Amino acid sequence: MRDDQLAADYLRRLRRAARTMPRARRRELLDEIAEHIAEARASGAVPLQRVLDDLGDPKDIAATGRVRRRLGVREVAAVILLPLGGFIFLAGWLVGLILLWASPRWRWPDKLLGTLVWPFGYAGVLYGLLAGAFTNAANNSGSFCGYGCTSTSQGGGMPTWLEGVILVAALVPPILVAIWLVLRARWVPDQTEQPIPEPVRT
Amino acid sequence: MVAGDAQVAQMRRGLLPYGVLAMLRDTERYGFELVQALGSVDGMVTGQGTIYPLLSRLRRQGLVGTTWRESTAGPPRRYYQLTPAGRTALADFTRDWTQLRDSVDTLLAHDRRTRHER
Repeated sequence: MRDDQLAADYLRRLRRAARTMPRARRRELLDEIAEHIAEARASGAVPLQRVLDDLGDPKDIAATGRVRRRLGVREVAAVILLPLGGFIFLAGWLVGLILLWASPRWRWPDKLLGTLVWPFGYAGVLYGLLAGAFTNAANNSGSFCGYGCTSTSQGGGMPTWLEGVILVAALVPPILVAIWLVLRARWVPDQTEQPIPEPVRT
Repeated sequence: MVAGDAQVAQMRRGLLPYGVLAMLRDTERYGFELVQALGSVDGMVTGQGTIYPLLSRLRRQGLVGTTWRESTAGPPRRYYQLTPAGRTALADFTRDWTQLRDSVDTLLAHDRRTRHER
């Protein structure tokens, strides 16, 4: 039982250390290390703690083949412009988008994420919320809202909790995506570990 | 002289991929077996776990291939073997390395000799 916990704990640390790796590679690495541990336990030659010590620090494993680098000016600009650039005549967001897609520091799933959450950043969120509020106000003033209907009753006919959910869904994702993009862009392939040239494809 | 552990570690990291390829020259091996074999060579591997990301890269570069095979005990195993490109890379490296090693040895021997003469 104790060994099970040791192994699970090790894999959990590795999963956390590898969270900024591309998903497929992370999956593969976790599978391989889990297989390694299973093989070692099956052979029973050495205590599990020794096996884990020999494997090394999960952080070192996750850092193999890549190094941490500071973000470049373009990456910093992209991460700022995506949520906030929309307020600069919307064009700021477009510049951020171009920088995002032009940077080699992000892979396409991250680029897609940065593009879709949310389009035009907080400016887009603001316009969306305003449009929604106007629609509700328009509905409220409509004919089906009779005498007893006052504009302050339910904030546009929507329950308060739902408004809260919409607000959180509107405001939180751009921050999370920006943080995620920073975490991802900090890791670049280690050029000194690329001594073997890519094979020539004919 | 402070050659620096970092420098040695750097060299080791640069050479390790060829160590992996060399281990697969004559036979295919599964991950655990390969890691054990490399670990038994003194001073080549510091953390065994770092070999797995390396294997993953070699596979993406087309230098090694993988095959799943049933194991006599336990779940199926992922076996690694050299691809033709991996074989070529290893042969190229073997030639370059021999040459480089001889050159460095000559320089080191020369250095030792001149120091003796002083």
